[in-house]
Amino acid sequence: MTSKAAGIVRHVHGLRLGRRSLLRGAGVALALPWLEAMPARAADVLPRAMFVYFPSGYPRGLWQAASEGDAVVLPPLARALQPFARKLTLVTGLANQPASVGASNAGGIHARGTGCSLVAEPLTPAGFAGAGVSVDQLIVDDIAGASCISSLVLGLPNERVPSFSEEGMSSIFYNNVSFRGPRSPVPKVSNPADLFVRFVTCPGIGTARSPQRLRFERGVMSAIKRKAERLMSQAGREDRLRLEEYFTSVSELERRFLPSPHRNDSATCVPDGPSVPGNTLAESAAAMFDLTVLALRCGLTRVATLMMDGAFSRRHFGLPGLGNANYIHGLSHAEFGGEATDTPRWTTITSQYFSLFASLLARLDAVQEGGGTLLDATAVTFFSEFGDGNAHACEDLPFLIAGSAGGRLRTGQHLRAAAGTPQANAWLALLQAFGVGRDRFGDSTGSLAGLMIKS
Amino acid sequence: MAVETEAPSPLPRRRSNPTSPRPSPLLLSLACFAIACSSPPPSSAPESFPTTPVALGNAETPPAAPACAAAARAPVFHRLSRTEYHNSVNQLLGLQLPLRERLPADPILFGFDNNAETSVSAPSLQRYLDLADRAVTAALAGTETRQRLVPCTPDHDGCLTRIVGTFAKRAWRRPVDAHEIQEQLALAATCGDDPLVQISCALQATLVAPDFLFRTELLAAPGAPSSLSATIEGRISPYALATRLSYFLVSSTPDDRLLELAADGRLSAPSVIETETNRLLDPGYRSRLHSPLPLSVPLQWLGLDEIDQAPFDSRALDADLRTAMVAESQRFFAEIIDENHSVLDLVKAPFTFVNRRLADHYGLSGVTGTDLRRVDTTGSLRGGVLTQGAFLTTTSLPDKPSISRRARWVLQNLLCSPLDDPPPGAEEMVPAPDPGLGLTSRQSLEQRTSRPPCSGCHALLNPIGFGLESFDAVGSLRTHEGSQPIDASGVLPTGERFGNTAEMLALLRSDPRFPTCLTRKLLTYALGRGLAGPCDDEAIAVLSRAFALDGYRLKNHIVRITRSELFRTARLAREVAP
Repeated sequence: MTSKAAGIVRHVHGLRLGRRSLLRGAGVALALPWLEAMPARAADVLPRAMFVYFPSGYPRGLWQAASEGDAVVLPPLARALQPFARKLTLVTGLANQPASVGASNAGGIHARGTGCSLVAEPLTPAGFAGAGVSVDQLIVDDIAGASCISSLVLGLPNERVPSFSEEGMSSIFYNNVSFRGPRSPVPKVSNPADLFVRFVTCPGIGTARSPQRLRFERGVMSAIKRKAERLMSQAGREDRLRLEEYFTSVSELERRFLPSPHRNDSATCVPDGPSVPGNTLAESAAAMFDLTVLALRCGLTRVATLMMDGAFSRRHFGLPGLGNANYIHGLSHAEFGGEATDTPRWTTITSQYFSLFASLLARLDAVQEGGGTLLDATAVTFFSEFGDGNAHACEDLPFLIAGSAGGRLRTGQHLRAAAGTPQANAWLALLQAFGVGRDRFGDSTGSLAGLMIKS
Repeated sequence: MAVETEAPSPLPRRRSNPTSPRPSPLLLSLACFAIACSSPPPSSAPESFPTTPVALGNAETPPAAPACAAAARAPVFHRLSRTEYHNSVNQLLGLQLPLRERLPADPILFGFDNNAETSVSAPSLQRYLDLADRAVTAALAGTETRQRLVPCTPDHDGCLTRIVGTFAKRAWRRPVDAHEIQEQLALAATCGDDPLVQISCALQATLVAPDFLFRTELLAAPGAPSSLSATIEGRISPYALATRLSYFLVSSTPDDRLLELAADGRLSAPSVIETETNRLLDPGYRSRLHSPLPLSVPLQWLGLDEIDQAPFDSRALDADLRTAMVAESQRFFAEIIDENHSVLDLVKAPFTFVNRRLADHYGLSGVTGTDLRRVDTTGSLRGGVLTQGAFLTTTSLPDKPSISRRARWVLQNLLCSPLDDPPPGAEEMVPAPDPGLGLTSRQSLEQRTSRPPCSGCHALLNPIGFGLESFDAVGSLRTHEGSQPIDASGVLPTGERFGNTAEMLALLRSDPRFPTCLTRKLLTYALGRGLAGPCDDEAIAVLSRAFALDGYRLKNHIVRITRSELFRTARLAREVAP
């Protein structure tokens, strides 16, 4: 399955395990090899996935890792992550190729860059060329069936989201990374209060709904589903796809009325109430991270996707030396004078994204679970649409995965993929680690070797 | 992505507007694309110009409907935008609740938020449930609103059925059969025995049903009455027509009168459509809906929504001033429709609406009070969207006006001639002049954009932006930038010269691309879909020609659009056509 393009320096030999059965928590018969291969892993740990996007890549020249052997030395831009070096895999050499395909006759590189990140299919103004389902949503479909909230798709508060179309490309593509169809993003929740409202509708979390209200809402869901068939019969093919999404969302809501199999009913799972975040980037992130970690810890969801900012968003960063600058996309182009050191404000913002990501990992690592931590039970990827952001380069992407998804992924390593290896190869490896039975994803040429502990 | 070197393919297929009295600015813009822009605009872009010759004849000679119905398919299910949801629920329940703010923003496609290519997601559905609960509870708590919804004694035999049936017909914008009423009653029964609670549950269930949340333009279910089905020619049903008309003109659900006209088939007559269009455009109708505007087009077209996000601190642009700026643009647009002005007045008109605060800001004298009032601006620079704070602030950078952004907005939104982003690295290739030279923004931009790869697009952008240099970042007048006097003169790509802002606005006012562009924008919004293909192009051309012959009177043009064949036609998917 290893492709030629994925020339991985390091090879890892793992034991063969029944991935899928393990994931579903039915690993009793396999207890022995399991323990040998992954001693830190507890049988009842359910793996979680988190996808964290940051915009615009990095200033040219600032993504040089000096790793030697097992010692991962992160690029200076990501210095804040160094304490987690043993709990993450740094992958270099990956490319977001579908975003650049067709660039000669289609504009909208930011829409294509961001939109393609998790979908890995070429994008035109009409939508993705294929099914248009992002990697996080594929995992959702496979593992999240019993969660109250099948997936959390989040932005950070206080982001000013633009709505212009970029050279014919709808704003939905540069504002979103999570998709369920060729032109159907999963909308981001960016307001902590809205997220709170969503949490307290889950069983055992808060007491917002009376039993009678729940019964009524359940009846409404069923009635809507009964209407589905009738409406679908009147719709054309494209409309049918849109309606299917609507009815999928109904099913999603229905799930909230089922008991969650993995729920911590302790008082710590009752959120304090909607917090009002301060307006700097750091304060906005803190508010959202706290709620996200709560959702993962308490089993409200198993998959969360978060955008630090959209490709064209503006916000008050609240960082020293930035002055009034509020537009990372502008800084990523306007400030570049040929030398990396000429990009101080862009560099400051991007470093802050890495610091915030480190603070997210610290929050996850502080939660004890099944003999390890919540970070160990989770696979948290950090990625962007570009490498060199000023050049709109879709190669040499910044990419790392923290946590081991409950012992399914290797950590503490730097994988040097051959230049141009599709990022989709890494997504495919992640899908396989989560037991999603696929051997292709987007433009993948194979599963990225060395990431997953082989089964 | 390097600078594009390929020849642009659309050149032979494009043509200038034949009514243009001047050398084609479009050809100049194509030359620009060949030289400098990173890529030509996609030839199928909704903003593109007609690709077929403009048809002769008048607006009453539409393209053949059957051919167009089969020509291209477009969705016939529109989810209500959050504005439409807000208006519809408030109208149905007789309320004024702030519902819009509690729904996520809608994706913008082809410039508007009502495009059919959007979907409902899980967070929204939970939100719809919560909002329905809140709104129906509020309506049943108010004496007046409850009496309207509950005209009979709730526990009286048949009363519940009547209430539910009446409400569902209004909310679903069509007749409702006994089986459907039964379904709603069954849901109501899960809420217990209290009749008022049952009513509440039934009304809530009606407002979260797809029949309410989706506008459907095709209902050809087996056994469905023909009044609900589109014809094979693509004519939408009378109920769908009533719905389309109401959401186009007032962004809200059709009232009882429109549904009656649909029921007895009279709505299909063009004369009735005309009467109803005028009725819905009447200021009295929209004031009953608590809506400041006849169409919500300008809210999105002019970006009035964005003024709250204009990048200024409250010292430069406080809340009172922002509010007055939005109100100015709304009143201005409403006046142009209500008084049936020429649409060219949108670009430059001899009047505007200000209160004292805004008048001071604009340098207009003799206005007192906090209420906006109409003022004659003859002899001043004010009057027209390009002189209004809403446009001038939302296109500015945090600390200064942007020549390029203002011009780009004009090309995209007034002339439907959008330009691409600058090629990546452009700034790097052409460094900014030394600040020590003390150049004005204009001089600096001229210096940086005088040569390829910048000169192609900036030849189109710069003159328009230069002509607006008399306005500062928050829309006040200025005569100097620093110590240097403002130079607002320029030469358009057509060779036309202007000496100052007023002369540039006069030239823009006579640009023939503007009324055609406006027709395209109105149709895109009215139909809730992108426009493409020869049928749409021909309809636009026919409508634009009639528009010109009529002196560009806007209200007449809206009537012309609602009377057109295109307005009553759906793009049917063949596979489900009966």
